[in-house]
Amino acid sequence: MFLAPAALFIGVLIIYPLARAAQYSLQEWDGIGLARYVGVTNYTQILTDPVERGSLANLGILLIFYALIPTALALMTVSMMRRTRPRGMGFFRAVYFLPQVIVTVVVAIVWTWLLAPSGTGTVNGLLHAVGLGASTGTPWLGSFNTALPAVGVIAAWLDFGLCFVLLLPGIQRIAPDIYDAARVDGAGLLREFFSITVPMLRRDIGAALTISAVAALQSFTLIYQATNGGPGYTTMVPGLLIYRDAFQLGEVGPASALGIAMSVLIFAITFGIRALIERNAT
Amino acid sequence: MLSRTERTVCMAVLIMAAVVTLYPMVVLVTTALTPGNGSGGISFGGHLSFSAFSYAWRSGNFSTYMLNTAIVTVSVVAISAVIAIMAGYAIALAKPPGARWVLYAAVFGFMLPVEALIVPWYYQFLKVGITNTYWSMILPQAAQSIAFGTYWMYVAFRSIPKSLSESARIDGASPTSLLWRILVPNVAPAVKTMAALVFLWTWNSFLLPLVMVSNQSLYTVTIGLSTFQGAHFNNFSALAAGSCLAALPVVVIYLFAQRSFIAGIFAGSLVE
Repeated sequence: MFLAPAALFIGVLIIYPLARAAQYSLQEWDGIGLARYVGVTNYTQILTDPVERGSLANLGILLIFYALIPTALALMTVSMMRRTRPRGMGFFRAVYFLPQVIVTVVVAIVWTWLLAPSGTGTVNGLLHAVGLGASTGTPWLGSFNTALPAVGVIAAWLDFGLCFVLLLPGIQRIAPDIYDAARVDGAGLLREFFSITVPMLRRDIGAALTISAVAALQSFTLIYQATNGGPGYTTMVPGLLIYRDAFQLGEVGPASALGIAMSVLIFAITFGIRALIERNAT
Repeated sequence: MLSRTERTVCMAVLIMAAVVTLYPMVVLVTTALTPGNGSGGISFGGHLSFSAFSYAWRSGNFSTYMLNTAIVTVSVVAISAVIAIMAGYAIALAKPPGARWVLYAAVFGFMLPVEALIVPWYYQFLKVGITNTYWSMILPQAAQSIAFGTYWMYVAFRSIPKSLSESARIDGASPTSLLWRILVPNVAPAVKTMAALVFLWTWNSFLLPLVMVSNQSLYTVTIGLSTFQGAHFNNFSALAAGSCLAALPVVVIYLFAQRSFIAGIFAGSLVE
């Protein structure tokens, strides 16, 4: 009795639609006419079609910005905090986490202003003010070479606080004696970081990498709003491609195949990072 | 021991990071509050005025968008909280047949991205004729929230000592009153965290309303903002004001229930 409503919701609105998605993914269908069975071509197309393959490559680069960079920065920050125990820890934690609770469309809008070619208060404006660069500089989100890393910067800004909050309790759990003993043995800063902090925090680092990597896969809103995949296809990601294929181009099959592939990737990342951590633990 | 230099460097880095984090938000607020500059662009100085807010609220239709988002969000939070609490309780304590399978399905469903389900959701809803309704935004969001909440509440209920529910049962409490009167108050922090996260996710939801709703009177605030930027590209202050309105409810909840949000983020790494 207590279980029935949840089972109904999950069954009807998650499991059944997933089965339909799997079915669509094997078809050629424009959303209106008759569907035609085409086997796995929609899946092989992910690797052969230049736009789809390109979107995966972009995702790979975004993973660095969404996951690796924020985790690394957060790791350095929490280690510094552990050594110096500064005042106002609660304040810093609250501030760093704030981007996570700002509506993503809003984040995208304000960053498109900040990354505009010129203007007071923009990144280019600030660079010009300190003597770096001309008063009208690069249109960061609008040029082929910089659009993807520019989106990456927004992503790193978003996820730093998330990783910070995920790593902070872990480092506070490590007994200070361990660091004291290492210092007696003459371990330096770097040694301390790589021989104590990183191994002791591997579970927390795993959690930070997993959560931020999954966020990278679900970057639809940010990219739709900031660049809509452009210029060209330089910031195209699988999520945006699903939307474009299914709802603008009437290519339901490829969109569904990409959706299934994305889900598989999320499970692979989650369980892959776990397996890696567990194996190194023993 | 610790040198003064190290302390100073550390503090400087922490403050720098805080400034970088806050700067975009400051830009948003000052641009919204100083529309007088009118030059188009980020503004800092100038007359303090709420005119951009009233423009966004009335002419920009943000009153409608905010109301729509509030209707969808409150519905999703209420529906998913009740259903997830019941399911979590059933799996952790009552253990009816099939409970395990619902738990696995919930964890699985919670990990699936919206992008994988949006296509079938849309075509199924089109067939039943409920696109362009509140339901088309509420039901899928509720399903994913229930998937998360079922797992989340299962973990919470599992940690309650068995003696508590047993002694209540001996006192003759029915399963319903046992759950709502005795057990739920014991897991109040977990319920709060779940509600806060579901609120955030639903309020923030973008792809779902984008696909489901084409009737402007049903736009949520995220879709309203997105189309507003397209239509009034140069009215920075109004867009900034609309952005502030959109962001405010979640930020306010965060300021009051910071712990609830932060306690929930570990759920993403899950599957113990």
